[in-house]
Amino acid sequence: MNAIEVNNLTKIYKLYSSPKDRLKEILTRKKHHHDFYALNDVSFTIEKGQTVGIIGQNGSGKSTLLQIICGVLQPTCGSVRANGRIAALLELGAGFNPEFTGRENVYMNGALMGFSREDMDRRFPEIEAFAEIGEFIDQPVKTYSSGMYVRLAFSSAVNIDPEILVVDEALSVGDMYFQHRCISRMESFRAEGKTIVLVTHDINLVKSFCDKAVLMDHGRVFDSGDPEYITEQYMMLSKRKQTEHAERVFRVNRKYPLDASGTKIQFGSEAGEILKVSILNKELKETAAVLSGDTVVLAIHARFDPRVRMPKVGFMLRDQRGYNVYGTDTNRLGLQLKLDENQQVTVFFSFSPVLMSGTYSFVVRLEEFWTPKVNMLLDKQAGVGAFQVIENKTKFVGVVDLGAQAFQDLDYASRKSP
Amino acid sequence: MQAARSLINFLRKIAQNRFMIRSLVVRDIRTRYMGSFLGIFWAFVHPLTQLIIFYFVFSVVLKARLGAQYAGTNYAVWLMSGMLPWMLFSEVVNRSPGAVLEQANLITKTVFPSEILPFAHVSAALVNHLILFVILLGFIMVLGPGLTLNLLWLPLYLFGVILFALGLAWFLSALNVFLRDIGQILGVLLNLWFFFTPIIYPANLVPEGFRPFLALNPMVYPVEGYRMALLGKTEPDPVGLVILFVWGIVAFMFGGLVFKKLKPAFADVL
Repeated sequence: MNAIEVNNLTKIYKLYSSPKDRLKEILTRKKHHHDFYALNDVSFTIEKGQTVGIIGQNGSGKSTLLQIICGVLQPTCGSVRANGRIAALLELGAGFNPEFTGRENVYMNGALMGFSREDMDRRFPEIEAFAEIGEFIDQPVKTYSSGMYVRLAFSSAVNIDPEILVVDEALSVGDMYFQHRCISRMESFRAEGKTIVLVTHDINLVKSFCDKAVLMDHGRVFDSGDPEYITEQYMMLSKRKQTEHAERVFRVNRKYPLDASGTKIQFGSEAGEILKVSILNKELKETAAVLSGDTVVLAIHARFDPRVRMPKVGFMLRDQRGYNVYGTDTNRLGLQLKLDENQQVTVFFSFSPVLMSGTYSFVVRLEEFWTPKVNMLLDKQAGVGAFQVIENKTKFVGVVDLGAQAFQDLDYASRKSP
Repeated sequence: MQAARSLINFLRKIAQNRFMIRSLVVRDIRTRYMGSFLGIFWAFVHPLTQLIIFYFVFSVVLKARLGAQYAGTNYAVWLMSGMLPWMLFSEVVNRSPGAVLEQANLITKTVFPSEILPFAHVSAALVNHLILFVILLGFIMVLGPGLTLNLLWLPLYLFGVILFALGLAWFLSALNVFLRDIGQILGVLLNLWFFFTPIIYPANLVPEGFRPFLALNPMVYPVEGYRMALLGKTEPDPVGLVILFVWGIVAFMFGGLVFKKLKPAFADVL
């Protein structure tokens, strides 16, 4: 039995350049808009009892899809069949009226779901207890912090016995403690055989929590199925977009040499440019994710001007917060670069990221070596070649695995270490 | 037939959402008056000031005569009985452009029966209406002419005004989601409408040539009807009441239809 059936769903927004055009179109029946496909022929089914994660980049249609599933938006064509009562947490904080108190909003939400006052009287203590917002329950919702808001919204959504729970990106607002409680509440919800639809950017949540994942891209279903595989696809998609972006920025740079605008920090010059950066795994195939400790090859393809006498290529590995983890360059490693007849060169750096799980990216620099202290920067790209490190054994905390060992016999230790 | 069915449907919807409507109305009244020092008192300062101004200008300065049919009636009492249905009507219509817009949050994030929003405004206006009505009854007892059996006609006129106001409010609140100029135009139109309705002047002072136009104004009937019911000096006018009901039903049906047609697109635009 299917909990949700989505058939050939399309949502077109008419974009007008001004409100006047909308009126003109109504009056003259001439076309004054262009169509924007927020959703384009989307079909999938969710079985009863399944937990499904919907992932995709910003603007890929996830939220529109959820709004149509919940019946808030009407599709342009296609249909949605939902079997069972849906409780929805759309974006930040469901349908709360900011002027009303928390208590009133909970009762009103209940009334919208078809519960009587007495029903809600019975459920209210549980909702209040789970939300943990104390005396604020009788204050207008506009005075709430975003965390309080989402706590109350989540609490009132799950405590009215929905058969389908729809959560859109809302939980990320709560603190760790609350997120943890939400997950465990959703787990028990799932154990009752109920259906959950989750929109999130949290790849790990999708992998660990969902039975199925749907990847959206530009209003279409890019792919759906096993979360492990789909999240991998998602990362590849993000990475491709990142390179495209870098290429775009880069092209602009070449048109406007180094000091032209004066307002933006721009890199790249006639003297040298980075053409391509890619991450290869040990089979020398492009990858977006590696196991901690596996060999990774960073390939940098670059071009130097013939005037550059001592070209140098370097990189810096950064973690998600932007901290430098590790960096080096061809000079330090003692590699003399030889350019081909097109003044181009490809440099491979191989290394083993014995790192904590997470996303890492590179800053790649082309320089001309002048003195050991002074280098001329020719080109630089930041945030390129992002990849995911997966560390399953969790033998450590922190950033880098220094391979510590534990023992009680000190003689053994002194013999072991040189 | 069709009208009766849609009215019944609407009443059912109200019954289903009575808790929601009550919260909306209570909150509406509270947010408007509770924060202030004088509280609900402010609800009456505005209409009473208007009454005092008109009373001073027309009765004290211009010494306007109400004509033979209202002979001996206090101008203030006469004025207030005509103002009452107008105030109910204009409050609902004036606020209607914001009815849907103000609840954008609910409409874009929940499956919300937005057609009850203008009705919540009607209910809130009714509360004001009731209180002003009680005050007026007090004046009538004290200043004369005293109550008559004509008062039994009043609920019919009240119902007619509600149908008419609600229909217009549906129409305007739905339209304003797409054309946000309506709020601006409306203030001007309501002001004109007020002065073209015989509220501060008696209808029989209107020159003969303008009378046919007066008959086209649906608000003439409740204003005259309220005066008939409250002051007991004029005869009941069943034809006028029927005309009011025709206007009311047409507005209710048309406004309801427009609202229903436009409602699915609200969430797209808000």
